[in-house]
Amino acid sequence: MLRLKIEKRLTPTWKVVFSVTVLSIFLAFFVIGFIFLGYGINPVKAYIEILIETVGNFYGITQILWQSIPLLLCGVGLLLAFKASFWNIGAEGQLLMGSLGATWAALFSGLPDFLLIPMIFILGFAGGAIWGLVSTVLKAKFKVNEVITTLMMNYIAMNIILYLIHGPWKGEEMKGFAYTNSFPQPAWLPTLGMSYIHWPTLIMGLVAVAVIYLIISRTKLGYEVKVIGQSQKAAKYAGISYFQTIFWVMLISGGCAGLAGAGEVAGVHHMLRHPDQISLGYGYTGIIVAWLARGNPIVTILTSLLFGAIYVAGDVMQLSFGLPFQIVNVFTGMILFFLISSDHLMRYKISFRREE
Amino acid sequence: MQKRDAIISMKGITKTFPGGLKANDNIDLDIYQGEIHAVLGENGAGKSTLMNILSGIYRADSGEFFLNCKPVQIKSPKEAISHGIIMVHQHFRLIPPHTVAENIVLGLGTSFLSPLKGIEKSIKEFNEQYNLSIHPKTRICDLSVGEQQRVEIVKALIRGASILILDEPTSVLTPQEAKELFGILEKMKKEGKAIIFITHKLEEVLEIADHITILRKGKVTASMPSDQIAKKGSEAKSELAMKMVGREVILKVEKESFSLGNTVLEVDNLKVLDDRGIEAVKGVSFSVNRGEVFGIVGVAGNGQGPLVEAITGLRPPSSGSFTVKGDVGYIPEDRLSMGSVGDLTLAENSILTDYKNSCFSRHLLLNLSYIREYAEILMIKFSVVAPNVNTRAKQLSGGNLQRLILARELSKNTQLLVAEQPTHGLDVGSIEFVWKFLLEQRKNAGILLISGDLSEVLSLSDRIGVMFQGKVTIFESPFSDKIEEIGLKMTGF
Amino acid sequence: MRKVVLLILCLVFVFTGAIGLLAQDKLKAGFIYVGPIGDMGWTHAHDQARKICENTFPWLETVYQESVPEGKVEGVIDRMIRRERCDVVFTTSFGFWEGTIAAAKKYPDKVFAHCSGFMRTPNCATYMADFYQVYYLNGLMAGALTKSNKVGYVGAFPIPEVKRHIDAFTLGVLEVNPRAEVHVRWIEAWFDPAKAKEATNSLIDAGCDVFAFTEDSDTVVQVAAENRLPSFGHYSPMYNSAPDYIVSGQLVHWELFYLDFLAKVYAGYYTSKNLENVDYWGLLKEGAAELGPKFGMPINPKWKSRLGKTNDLVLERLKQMQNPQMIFDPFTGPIYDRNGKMVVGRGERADYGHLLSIEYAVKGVVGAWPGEPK
Repeated sequence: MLRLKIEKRLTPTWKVVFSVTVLSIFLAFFVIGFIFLGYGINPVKAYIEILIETVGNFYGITQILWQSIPLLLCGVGLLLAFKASFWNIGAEGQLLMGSLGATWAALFSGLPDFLLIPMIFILGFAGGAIWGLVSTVLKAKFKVNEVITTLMMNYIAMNIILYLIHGPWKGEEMKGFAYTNSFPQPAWLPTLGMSYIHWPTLIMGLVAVAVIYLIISRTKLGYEVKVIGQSQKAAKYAGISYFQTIFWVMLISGGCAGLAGAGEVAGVHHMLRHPDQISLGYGYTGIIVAWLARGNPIVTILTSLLFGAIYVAGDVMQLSFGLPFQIVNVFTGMILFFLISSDHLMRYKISFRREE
Repeated sequence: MQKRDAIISMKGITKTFPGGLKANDNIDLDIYQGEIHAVLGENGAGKSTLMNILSGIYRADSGEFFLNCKPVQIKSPKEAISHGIIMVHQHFRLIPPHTVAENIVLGLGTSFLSPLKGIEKSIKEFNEQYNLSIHPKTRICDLSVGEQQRVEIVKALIRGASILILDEPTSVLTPQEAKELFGILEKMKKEGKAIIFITHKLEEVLEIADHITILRKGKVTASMPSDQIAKKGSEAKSELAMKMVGREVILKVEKESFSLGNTVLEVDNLKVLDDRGIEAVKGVSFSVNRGEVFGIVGVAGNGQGPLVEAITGLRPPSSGSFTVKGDVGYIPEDRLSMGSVGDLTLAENSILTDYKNSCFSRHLLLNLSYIREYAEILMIKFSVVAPNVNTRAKQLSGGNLQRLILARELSKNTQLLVAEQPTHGLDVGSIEFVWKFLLEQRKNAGILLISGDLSEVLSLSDRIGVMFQGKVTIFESPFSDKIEEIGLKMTGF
Repeated sequence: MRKVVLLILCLVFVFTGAIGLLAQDKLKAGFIYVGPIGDMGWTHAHDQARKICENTFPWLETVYQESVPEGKVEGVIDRMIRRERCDVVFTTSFGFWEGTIAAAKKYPDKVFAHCSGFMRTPNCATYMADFYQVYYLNGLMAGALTKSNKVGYVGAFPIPEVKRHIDAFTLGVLEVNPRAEVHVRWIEAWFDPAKAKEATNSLIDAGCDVFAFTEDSDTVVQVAAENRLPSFGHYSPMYNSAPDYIVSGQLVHWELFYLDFLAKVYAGYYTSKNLENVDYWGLLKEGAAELGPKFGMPINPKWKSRLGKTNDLVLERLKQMQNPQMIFDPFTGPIYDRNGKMVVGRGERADYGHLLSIEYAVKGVVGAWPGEPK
């Protein structure tokens, strides 16, 4: 008679990983189709509409690219941190501090025009990097859990920005509302044609991917990161300094999130405003973007595009089908759910054996 | 003498683990009520396996159990507990933030809404009966190790233990606490409980046991009432020690003799504290020269770990000093999570302890092609079997992984080589391989070998240090007429 | 009465649509909301008005998107115009101004209107309904009802709009009860029931016994009622949340603006070229704001006797402010801020510009006041 045999698979091949990932995403879409049905919408029609509006026309594609810029930067930075098993949950706060640095450069540095944009990115990187390093020192020197410190620093960052926009940085032109003044024109990032894509930040993102890829595969630092990420015991044995390695890791990880923040304020908003408006959860979504890439920085380009597409699809669903704005979160959550479940299943192989 | 029936009788217990290791080989054991029965043996002798079988954690491949002369099957810890067989493990299963009472009721199946009801009363009763003095409301993390052990004992008693198994109970106790424990065990014995006491320390066994069984390499090599030994005197003691560690043939390996070179390691009255702040190395002095193997032998847990950590720079000594003339190569005991990184490739693992070397990396970049070539050479020279240098280390068998680690450390050509349990868990072919290369390395280095396997140490070493409870006693070769003495020192005499 | 007249005017425009040579067959309007339509405040009220428009005008089709982040406004407008083919777009939050103006420039032949904004273009008008007069009336009642002489106010953000409301409220309180104080707590959110609850409890602990607020839920009313204390509803009819304890409140009629504006666009009266100076500022006299805990009930009858003479005072002031000449306005001098500085001169009336940029706290306000002028 036929018996079901479930064996453990030691290392899933790339083919398996890819097909399981794709399958989970499709499963998620399938389940969400039922939500559409619940609202009286034909799911097939809905998905076709979504496809048209996201990848089916030029405008949709530009929207996806635009939306994926901060996701790419946050995601690839987080990938590096996660490779060292440093659980950076603070990309959100690092992004905000980056936007703070960028705002100062744009509005208060008094630099000549041609230096504004470079300084925006430099201070954006620095803001995020410094913010990330606080948690690094706490972990390396005092063994304080980084999940807690990075997460808590998010709230501190939010409140610092709130204080600034309500107080010393409130713009005189803003009729008392909590915004800084608009950045001067030379501090506005150029956009690609008629789209909203602030391409300098996009380039930063791609450069970050290349740099992090090189670091991981070719440098001493990358080697140290990989060893620490696997086993701190082995790292100690190999003579690798935890603090020194994580210092560089978080400098880059926080810095990338900071660049994302700089891009948002200089490329999208052209001012500093309420933290919930600057980051639409990019720091947290970046975690999924990084995790989905399964350790390969180049794949974050794909995963950030995927989530960019989900955000755009959410807009379409709201406007064209009248679904409530929470639908985007349901979408993302459903995908996460299937991905996490499939992650475990990937490690098992199912086969049928004939047994007497 | 009246013939009593054993409360537990084990006959023909055999257990073989996958890989061919026969942990228990046709073992017979009789346990009587009102008796403390010590089961003695080195690491790997099979005593833990036997006790795990008795307490239901493992299942024997063959053999029978009799409880009160009736055949029983013990298929799970729950069944063992129902027969009154309860084990107190060497590593306690307690939850530090919870109180004594909370730990005791865990899993007991008390009332859902008020689980602690009645517990304080029971604890008080046990306290009085056995002189335990533990307070129900204290948190485990605030108790001393000895007190924690007594909580474990109460856990067993409250579940109706009539046969109590204690696994190396004094390994974590101070001498004073050990004395208190023995007092408690005497009381329990008088109440008719049967106590099985697993240990490797011969001298304390003679103090407390009524009956002694010695295991060696899975077989029973001796079993007798302890008063028989006391009568025979010191001769009997050394005979016992030999029954535990075995009489070995020394020259199992072809050994070239090398001329001694300069001193590469000098250890002077070294003292090291362990993680709990207790002195694990109590003033050790020895030296190692180029051209020789100095083997430290002892049952695990006598301070070898902290000693090695101190010498390899992973743990600072508390006092005393050591000097290393040159570099150190270190083959750690834990090859999976320390000696290698499972998810990295063979090439990446081959430079783990030497990656900063200018051949392998310059400025910021790794010299990837050189590293690959280097790994390939190592693989060939040390016969590491793997598809290619890009295979991940976790895919290697134990023997191959050890060859890789050996290859890496030996090829560094350091002045001192520290090898910690280098053949632990390996197949025969790999063991011989490791021995061959260690001996060969004597032409370049002094080798510090740490092992619990006496035959290995006797075969490889030029000089031996026996380590027991943090102290080392040195023996010069030849060893053939000193084996009894060595055995005794290993067991604490 | 005002409402009915306005409605008739709209219908007149509709049926004489033939007059407008530029009148189209159908009109599609898009609404962009800053919050969820399920809140009990700002966005809900706008959405109610949208529904009224759709039901009133057979030629009108609407779409909306809720909880739109400020950085995404322009993108949403793109979709509304290109995919949904909207002719008119309403953006209902101050923070949307950048996106609205940019879109207005990008689509010069479409019509835009930006709520609570101040920048206009030939094709982008601005509109606002303000409550400060109603808050003043609420303040009169609060001053009469407080026994501890401490009145509580839960405020959202310390911006001129909210400050204007608190100041008007306090002017009312002190007019009836010169010894009273208005204690303010800022929750830094438009919608946050948890923080509103905390703030109310904190005010109760401080001794306050009457409550008003700016927050898009009925939390304050409920918490006050649980403690058997009176309060004033905000934005939506909150009578049913506490029929025994709610006294009055502020209500809004956005449909007055929307109906008027849409009709004018449909009739060709408003085009994409002549909106540069179109700015609606709706107060009591326009009917944009209304007094009461629910429509049609200015004061909860249960509290009439407790109010005594103040009841009549309130009704009288109401009539004065509803008068087309607006013969009364609370911001009539002399008015002093709490530092003693005179901010409105004797006999003067604060003008539109002054009202729009109030940062000061009037005498009687107690508590933190971010951005207070020295």
